Amino acid sequence: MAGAAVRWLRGPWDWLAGTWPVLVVAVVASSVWWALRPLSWRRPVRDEFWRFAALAGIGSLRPIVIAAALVGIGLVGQAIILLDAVGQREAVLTTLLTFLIREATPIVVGLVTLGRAGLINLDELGAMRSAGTVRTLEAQGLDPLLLFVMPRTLALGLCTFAHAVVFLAVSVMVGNITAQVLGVAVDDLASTARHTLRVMGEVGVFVLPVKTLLIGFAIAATTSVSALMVADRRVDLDLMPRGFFRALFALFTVSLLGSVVL
Amino acid sequence: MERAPVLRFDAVTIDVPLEGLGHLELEGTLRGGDLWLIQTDDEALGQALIDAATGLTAPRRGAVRFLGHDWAVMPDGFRDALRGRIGLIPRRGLFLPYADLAASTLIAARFHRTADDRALVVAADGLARRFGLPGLARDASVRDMSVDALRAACVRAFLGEPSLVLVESRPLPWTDELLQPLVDAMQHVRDRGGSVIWCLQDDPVFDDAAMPATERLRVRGRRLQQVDT
Repeated sequence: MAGAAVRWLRGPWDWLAGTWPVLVVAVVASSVWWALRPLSWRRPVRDEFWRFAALAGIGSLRPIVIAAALVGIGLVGQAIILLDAVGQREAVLTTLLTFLIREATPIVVGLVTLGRAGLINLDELGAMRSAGTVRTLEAQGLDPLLLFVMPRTLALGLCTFAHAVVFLAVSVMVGNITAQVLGVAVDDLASTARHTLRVMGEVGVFVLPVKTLLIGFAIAATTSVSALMVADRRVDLDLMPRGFFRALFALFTVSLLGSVVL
Repeated sequence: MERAPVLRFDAVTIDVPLEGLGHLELEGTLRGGDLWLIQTDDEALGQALIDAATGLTAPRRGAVRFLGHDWAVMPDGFRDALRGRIGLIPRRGLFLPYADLAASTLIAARFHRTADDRALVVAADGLARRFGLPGLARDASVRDMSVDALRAACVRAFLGEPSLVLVESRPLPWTDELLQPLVDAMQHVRDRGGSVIWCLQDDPVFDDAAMPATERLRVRGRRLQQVDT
């Protein structure tokens, strides 16, 4: 009876089973579940977490700072236009900071994370699958989902959040300095920082961490699913473009859902 | 006294991903101390057999039991732990492409065993010397097909006293300098009650009467059949 009810409920959604978005959600959920179990953190898994955290965290720091500086300068340009049109300094600043915290930071940081660490994940796992390394590891009882995907997903989520904090700080600072250099009427740096924190509180203090963590998880899971979960072991020539666009789609979907829900 | 079964093929039919072959039927029990030499015409046959032995692919019919446990009906964690007792010398995909040989050699032992890193390195160093390496190799530039990479793969396979060692066929015949340490290491595993399956293609090792095999098998008509030597 219960089985029939489950089959009836599942019926219209059967076509979803095994599709990459479902696999991505399953990989993120199982990664979080495994990460909470101390037994999962055996030595090679810990090594993989730190290796990928260093690769994604330190390796992406320079592009994050450069992107943040460019966005900061762009914000000042936008502020000048809006001040001319609207004239209300406080409202303009709050609007720009809200946009920066809720939308620009998660997406720009997500794009850099995808370009720097997501594609490395895609390339490494794809190469290991086609070279037969994944099979060799599985035959020795090393589950690639536990050994690679879980630590990388966690590392990428945490690094994306850390980068978002750096991105926000640098873009606000550069924007403030640029405005002062150009003679636009703005507060000093300390006041702007306080204003930013106040706006963060108003838009929801969990918005930035939740969005960026989920974006990092989604990028890692999407690239891993694209690289590993292929029916056969042949070399996959479409791996890079397909994995990239899936991850891009996942990034914008998570960002959009985050904006709607949070 | 009858030796304990290590691997058992119970009326197994496996699919072979090779055109014209379709499937392979397997029947038999590999007991502690056994060494099976299996000659196949194509690497896909040997690979399908190894995949079935390690539970990587489920048989179409029948059951494959390792140490008495059916691969098809065990929980994931238990299955991975059991696979930790298998040493594999694969044909391809020997090592992680981004890590040095030492990390790749120790990865399975560090995952499955509780021995500290220093003890594992000492054990791996000893095995590496037996296989003709100066010690546990740390060179990241060694390519998958090189002799040193093969030596390191042998070290990894025999590290941690495996119950079953599986050797896949090589693109090139085994050289004398590798063959003797390999046979010695296999003998050590067999003396401890473990067993070995060695898949070969066109390799003189199969017909070498000095090779201490308990069974010599060849694929004939989709079945493994004993070969008289």
